[in-house]
Amino acid sequence: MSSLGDFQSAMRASLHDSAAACPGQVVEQGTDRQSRRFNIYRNNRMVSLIDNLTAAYPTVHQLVGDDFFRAVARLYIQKTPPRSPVMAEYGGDFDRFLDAFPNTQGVPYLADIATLEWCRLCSYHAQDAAAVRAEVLSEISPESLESTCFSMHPSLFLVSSQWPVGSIWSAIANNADQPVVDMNRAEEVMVVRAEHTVSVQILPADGAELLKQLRDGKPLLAAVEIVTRRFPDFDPGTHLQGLFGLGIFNAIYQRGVSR
Amino acid sequence: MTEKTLDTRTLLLAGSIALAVSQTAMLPNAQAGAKEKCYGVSLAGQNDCAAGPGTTCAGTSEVDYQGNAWTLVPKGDCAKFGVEETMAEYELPGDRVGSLEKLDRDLPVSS
Amino acid sequence: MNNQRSINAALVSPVTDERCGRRTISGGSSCLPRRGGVCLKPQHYDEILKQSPDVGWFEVHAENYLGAGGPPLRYLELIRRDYPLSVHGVGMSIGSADGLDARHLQRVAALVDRFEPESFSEHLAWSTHDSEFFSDLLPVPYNKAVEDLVCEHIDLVQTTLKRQMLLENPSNYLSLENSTMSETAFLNNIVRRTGCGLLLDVNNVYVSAINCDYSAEEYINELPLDCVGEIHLAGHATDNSDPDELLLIDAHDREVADQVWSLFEYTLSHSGPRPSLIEWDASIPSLTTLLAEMHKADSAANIVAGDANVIAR
Repeated sequence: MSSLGDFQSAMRASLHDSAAACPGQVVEQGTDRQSRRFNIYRNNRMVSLIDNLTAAYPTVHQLVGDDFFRAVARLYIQKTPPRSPVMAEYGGDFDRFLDAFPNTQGVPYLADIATLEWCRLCSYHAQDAAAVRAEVLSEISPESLESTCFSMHPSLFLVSSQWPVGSIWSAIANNADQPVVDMNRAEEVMVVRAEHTVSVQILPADGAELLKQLRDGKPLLAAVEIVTRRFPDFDPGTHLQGLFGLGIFNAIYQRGVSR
Repeated sequence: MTEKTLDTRTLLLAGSIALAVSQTAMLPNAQAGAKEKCYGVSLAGQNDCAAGPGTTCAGTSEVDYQGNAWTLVPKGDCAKFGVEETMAEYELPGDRVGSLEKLDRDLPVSS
Repeated sequence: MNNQRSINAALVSPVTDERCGRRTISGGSSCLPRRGGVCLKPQHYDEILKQSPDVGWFEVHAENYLGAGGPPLRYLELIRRDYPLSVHGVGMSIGSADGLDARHLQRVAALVDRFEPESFSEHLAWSTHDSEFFSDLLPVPYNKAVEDLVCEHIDLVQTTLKRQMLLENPSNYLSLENSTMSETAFLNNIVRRTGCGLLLDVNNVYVSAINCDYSAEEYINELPLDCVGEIHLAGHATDNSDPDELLLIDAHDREVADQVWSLFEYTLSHSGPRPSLIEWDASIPSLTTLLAEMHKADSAANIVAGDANVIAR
């Protein structure tokens, strides 16, 4: 009598390879009957995992159509099966898989759309936290601006794409009939959650640059200087006001000292 | 620290921030909301979709059709976002339209 | 608005039979109200909060509430304030030869600590092997070695969660060579050895009985019904690929079948009323449809209880 571990290994192998026979320990009369019954498990596994990817990537699904999506999802699942029973955590590198997949080259923005959809999911499930309001800035003395740093809200994600991913995502999500999207435009898309709602925003390029510098831990003064070098007309006040308004900062602290 | 002289850039930034903060404080809430919306383009999307996947403890009567992704091409709404003409320099192997092979259970007749 | 939801204390007394309570489990037993409940789905969150429908209790899948934060946990918190709650795990892989995933068990324990549900349940199945999750409830053979392993895992779950758990009978599509005892004998042994209760899925019993050719009623008769802390009801699909051999699939995508209602009534006539859940996981209907199914379960329970009174007189 083989052990349970051997049986589970054999079953796993048969689940992976649809051409394989069902494991030897299955007692049903006749191979037709055996494979018909074993295929229920194969279908349960593959269909539920594909359905989960469809739920995680509804825009990618709509962009490429059901046949193609299911076929690609199946290859992804074969290459990267889930490691956790928490389905909200499965599929985080689907964007990289799509990026490397040859038949998606006619849809060069597809991987970035997948990145955006994954960021929305992560934002939706991210830790709850309060956002600090812009008024807090008035407590900061000019002397300490060079050591003032910001920590980001846990639900904040930024997607930088050479494609207009925010506009494409929005057109698909809203089922726009005749979307007008300038395909030559790069977009910086920010995802953040306030209360129950995950919001998606296209940021101006200079504002996005400021956000990236602050996210990477640069103190305010240094961040503003870096952005101003790239964008000479940069107006930090407006952008800080805008970013604060979107509720993306979780805390302000002096470098080395927590406030 | 207090002895330190602040350079022009610091003073400009401080002034700019002070102005921004006072503007925010002066605006009534509704207007502040309107102003925030002008910063960045807020995109509408069905928030329900953000809930994403969920578990099941059931089986399925659906059959996994084994489409050959290597021969299939995207055929969804991507046509609306036409970059194929200028961007795609890629020649698809074999048939442009692949076929689907189902696993050997028939599709159940929907009841 | 919520007046109909007051719970009769007599209906929530925990399962106390000696066979399932032989071993003391700190933290107590499953104590859902003995009436109909429904699965909680994100599609219905807002409607439930707005309308406060008269629902006996709600059940959620543990794995859908293990994120760090966000709307799912917040909704669950709000709804849990007003209703009894059952947390139903689908990914613990109790029958895994590799042992339980310690990290997953800890995450579920944190969820249970936070929401303090009236019941926690899991499946007699495996879904993880070699660190791969299969997203399906896969069968185990019923023999002494597997019984020992499953008992060990249930002990660990009950110790970690500091409460009794309920174990659910699976849907079977095939039989395994290494089984040396029946499923009911296996379940009886597990209940006796671990002090866990049973989650009796009546639809699973029906599906398995058709697929593996045995009597559903006899199966019910062979179970320690006093240890049943919860009943599941769900719809199943028919696989039509071979007209000569009926094969049912536990699909949870439609109304409960008539034959399963009959088996439910048969079960209640032997067990008395039990917390009874309408499960619906795919093609999720309106809340109204879900509640109509729940009312059918409550009516069936009332009719059975009425009949029992007539017989007693």
